[in-house]
Amino acid sequence: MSMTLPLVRLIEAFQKLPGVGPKSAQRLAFHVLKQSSDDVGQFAEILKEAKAQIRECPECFNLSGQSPCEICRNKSRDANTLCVVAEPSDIFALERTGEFRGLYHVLHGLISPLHGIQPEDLKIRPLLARLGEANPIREIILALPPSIEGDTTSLYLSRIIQPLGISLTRIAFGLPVGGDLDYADNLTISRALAGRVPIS
Amino acid sequence: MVFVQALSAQNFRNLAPLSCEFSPGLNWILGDNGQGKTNLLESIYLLSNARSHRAKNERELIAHTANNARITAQVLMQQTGGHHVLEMTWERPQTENGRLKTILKQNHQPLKSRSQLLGNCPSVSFFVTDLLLLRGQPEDRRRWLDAAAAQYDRRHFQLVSTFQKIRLQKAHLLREYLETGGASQDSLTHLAVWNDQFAEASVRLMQSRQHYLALIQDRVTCHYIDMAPHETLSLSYHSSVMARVLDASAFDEDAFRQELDKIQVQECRRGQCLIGPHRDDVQFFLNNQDATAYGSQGQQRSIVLALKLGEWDVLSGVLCEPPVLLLDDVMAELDPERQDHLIQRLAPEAQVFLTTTHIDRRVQASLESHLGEGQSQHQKIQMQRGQVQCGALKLETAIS
Repeated sequence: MSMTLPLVRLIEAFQKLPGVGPKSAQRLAFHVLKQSSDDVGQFAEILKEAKAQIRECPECFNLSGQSPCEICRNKSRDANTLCVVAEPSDIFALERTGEFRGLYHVLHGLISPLHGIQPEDLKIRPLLARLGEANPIREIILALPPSIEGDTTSLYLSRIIQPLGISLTRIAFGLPVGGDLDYADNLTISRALAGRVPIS
Repeated sequence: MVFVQALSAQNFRNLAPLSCEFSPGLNWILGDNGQGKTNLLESIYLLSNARSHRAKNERELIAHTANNARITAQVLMQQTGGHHVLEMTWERPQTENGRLKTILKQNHQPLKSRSQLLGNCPSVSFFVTDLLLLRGQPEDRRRWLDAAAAQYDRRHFQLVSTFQKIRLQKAHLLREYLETGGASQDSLTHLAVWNDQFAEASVRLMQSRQHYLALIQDRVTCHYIDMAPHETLSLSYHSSVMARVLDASAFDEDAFRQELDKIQVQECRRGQCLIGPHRDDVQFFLNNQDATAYGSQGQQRSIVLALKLGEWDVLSGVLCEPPVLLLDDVMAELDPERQDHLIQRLAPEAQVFLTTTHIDRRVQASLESHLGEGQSQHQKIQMQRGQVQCGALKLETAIS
């Protein structure tokens, strides 16, 4: 069956999105065609605006419509603690908890020579710049994913930050809260065992 | 015992869509060359080992005309009462450079990693190519060791895959240094971090390999003495790194890490990981002489047989029930004495899959009298152009 060109292009455009396969792309495309012109126009406008307005924060490299971002300009946050994450979406996850009141730094990736990502491709130099003289930062928390690339990036950062005399910690890895020990995989359990803490 | 009750396959290699049930005893898989006997055995091997013993690229597993392949098996583990439906699916990528998608399921639930599949259908396999283990490359012996150790303890599988991922990353980094003309001071810190990871993963993998070899050593030696009373067989793990460290007893992660530092300049110049478990080997000695170089063909076959029986004993011991035995064309390659040796040492209640082009009456008599005491526990599966015909065929038709 041959489809009209504008429809094919629309389906192809949706298919470029992550997690969208050919079937979903087709469903989305037909849904868009059913919508009113106003709704579609508004959606297009929102896309364009978001792309035009959202930039990387010059301080922490979080994505924001403001510069510096909302978190960096919030004076009530603790400027002594810095949490290093891989992606802006990780900030969302941490902010949802409401536990962390410090500032962030987004690396925008993890070291992976296999994918051509070297330390200099990440926002590590700006991180070091933030740790320069007269900085208020006393503790850095590494909140990188527990993968080989995440571990390597953490080790790399610890090698270059340790000499600066700033306290460096890494978030704990282990069992999900409310999870059953029986259902956890071996690696998670061994990591949880290795990272055990005394009961206070 | 571990019992593969049923198997179904779609678009798997040259196999026609099939579903068949197996006997808990002896299963003969008969057919001429190229009819799909080994493919049938490979599908059981895959569900047991989570990796193929022969496919270099898993794309090979999907039939040429199809976009995806699937194998499913029902496995019963009597001792633990475990009843599993195991499934592996491969989907061909849609683009040329895309990645093959592999989906693993246990009881219809997706598994996060391949290592989780292991232990649900424990097996010992003996392929005709295994007979060349001593003549072959160190790579073949490492693959054998890693697969056998993973059957014994699925954590070994994780150690192997972690190490492989780290090695791949480090190798890419070194190759990049080579192409861009040397490493700067900054990038040496980068390499140092990979070396830290490399050392940790290497030492854990090497220890696990040595542990497994030590476990089977006694059993293997006993089986060999049974066959050749005047010769003593011993196994040893040969490590390129440990050979460099003078005091082997002091070998640990730190010692390994120091060796990596010493060889760093060379590694950067060559653009390769020069030391590590990916260069190690298993050595076999008969009366302290290297059996790989000096052993006769007969001796080497006996060694492989002893090795497989050692694997069998140790795995049976840890499971408290006999694993599945996969024998691919191997009987025809053994002389009567070794055939009997193998058959007599199997647990009578084990499930056995045996491929062959024709039934050797002597082997049949020996097998059937040993396994299940010649009850109706035997099944002949005839394969023709990837098609299966189950049920007890008459012997005459099977031979012709």
